[in-house]
Amino acid sequence: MDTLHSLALGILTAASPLNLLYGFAGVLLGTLIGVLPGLGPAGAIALLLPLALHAPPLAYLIMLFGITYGAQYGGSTTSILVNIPGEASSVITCLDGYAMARQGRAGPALGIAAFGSFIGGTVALVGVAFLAPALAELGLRFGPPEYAALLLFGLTALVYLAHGPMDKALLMALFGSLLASVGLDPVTGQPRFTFDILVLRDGVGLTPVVIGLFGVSEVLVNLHAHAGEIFQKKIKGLLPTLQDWKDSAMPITRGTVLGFLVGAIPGLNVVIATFAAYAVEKKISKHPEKFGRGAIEGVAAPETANNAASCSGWIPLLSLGLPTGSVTSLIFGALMIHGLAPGPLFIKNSPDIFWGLLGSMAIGNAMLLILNLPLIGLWIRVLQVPYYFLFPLIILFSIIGAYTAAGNTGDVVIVIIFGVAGYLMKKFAYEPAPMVLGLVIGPLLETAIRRSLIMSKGHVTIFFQRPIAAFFMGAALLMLLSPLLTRRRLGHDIIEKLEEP
Amino acid sequence: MKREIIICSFWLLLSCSLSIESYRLGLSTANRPGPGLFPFIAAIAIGLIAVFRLVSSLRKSSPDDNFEPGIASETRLVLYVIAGMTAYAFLLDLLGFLFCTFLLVAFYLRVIAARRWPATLSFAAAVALASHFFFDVLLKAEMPRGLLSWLI
Repeated sequence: MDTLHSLALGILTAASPLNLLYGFAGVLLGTLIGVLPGLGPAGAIALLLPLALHAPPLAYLIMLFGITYGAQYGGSTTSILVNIPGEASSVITCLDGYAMARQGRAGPALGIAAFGSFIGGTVALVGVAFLAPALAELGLRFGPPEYAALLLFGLTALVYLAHGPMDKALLMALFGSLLASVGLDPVTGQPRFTFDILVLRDGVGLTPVVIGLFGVSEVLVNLHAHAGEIFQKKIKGLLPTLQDWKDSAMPITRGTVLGFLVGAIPGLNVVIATFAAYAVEKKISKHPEKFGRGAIEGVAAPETANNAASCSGWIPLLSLGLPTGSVTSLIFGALMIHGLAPGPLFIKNSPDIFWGLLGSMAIGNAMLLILNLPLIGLWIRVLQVPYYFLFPLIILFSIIGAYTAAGNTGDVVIVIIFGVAGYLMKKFAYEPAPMVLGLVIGPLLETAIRRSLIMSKGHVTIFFQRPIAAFFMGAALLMLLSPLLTRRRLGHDIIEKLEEP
Repeated sequence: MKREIIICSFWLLLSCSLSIESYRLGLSTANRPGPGLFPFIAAIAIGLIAVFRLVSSLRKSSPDDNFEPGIASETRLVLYVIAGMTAYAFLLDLLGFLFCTFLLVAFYLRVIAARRWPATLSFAAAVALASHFFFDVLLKAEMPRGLLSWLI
């Protein structure tokens, strides 16, 4: 009852006019980002990080959260109508969503995607409300060795489950943690890798790095991209029929459960949840041959799963202070900018923020359902805006974001450097997510390791003598070393199969 | 393969220089980890992975990387975008936010998107004025005024 009471209070907090306004801006912007191919939620959040200095903490965080789940809604619109996924998490929706649109059933496809997203997001939210505080209680038992082992486990999980070769992902994670060590040493205050450059004394800031990696590099990659054929037929009948509901009820239920579970596990992500949900539906369907040819179950399950996973993905961050990917790393950074330390004490020390954020997700999901169906016409028009009008604006916002955060052009230069680096990383198939996670958790990991070693007078065995730390270290070592023993990543072939529908 | 050798060489160079610098910072003093320990371990690990990748790519002895079609024109566009951003960063204080924004957008539309002058100039002017209103007037972001400081 306490949890439901706190959640109700959170909804009331989120319903204040200012929070509603920021929440509305977030979900609207998120949907726009989801609709537009070429700029994902990570890029949008990166561009908005400098605003953290001026906006009230809760309202600002509500907006950022709104962007993340709003993007899931928006991504489905382009998948269904244009066969271009606005987001990676909507790739699988293209198969049956676009097929439905071509059969004149774009309305029910869009409708079931919106309803499924609403149901998945809302149910997952209740799950987060119960699970996150319980995990945080467990986290209170953590000392420096346990925290170091947990962070190492989170980083390793992301590396292990990376799409490309594991060594490349590991290189990026290590490079990110090296970048994090630029500036003053957190323990002794000694300058490290500053090379007498004044801008580097404060370290390499998260804001210019992620603006470069996710904002500028996306533009550089997409300069050659062209928009696909936009579905021109008039869309009517957005409400699914009774038969559509019958066909979608169980896929929505299974998508919610699967999405919630996959999203809550560090290293697994929203994209994997959608592919897994689709694969499960196809496997147990009596008519698997209909999948890919306009089966509504093929839209309902992944669209539900992506919102459920997007919601439960916050559990490791909000309960244990463990970011699990680019977006959660950026939110971690935003929390730090506001002096809110994510970790086991976060819920206890900042209950208004935690419950307010959960409350805002409940309101935001409802807002998206009410807003999105009538606004589909607008999103189609947005899709028709040529990219050559959009990219100068993204570049401009990138520069302004970096400049206003620091008040000098030094950070703009960092944006340019990481814009080019991000472009090269995409060309050479290096994922940016492990690098961003390394950059964000690098200082925390270093401090926790050094404190642990001080506690143990330099003996690394401290990480294996305490049960919780030993568990996470064991899991991390297993993930790192198993490819050497088995020549493959355990379970990775399953994920790869899932991603080949 | 050539490309992989170049990339691995970059990682190796980075690893060598940063591990030397980390060692210089100090790895430990009397059972207390020093400021160089953590970056030293990370730099050494980068070096080991780079060597592993280099050896693997040499063993495979695959033919030279194919030249991607259209890469030259793509590189040209990328260079234009970066050149515009760099010029913007260095001219911002001198020319001011309004004028720089106008020039940047006009440059991108004319050179990269090959739009006609009327569309280029009108869109660039609209973006410059709108962003001045939004960031300077509404958000009071105090962007540099430069040459136009007497006017705005």
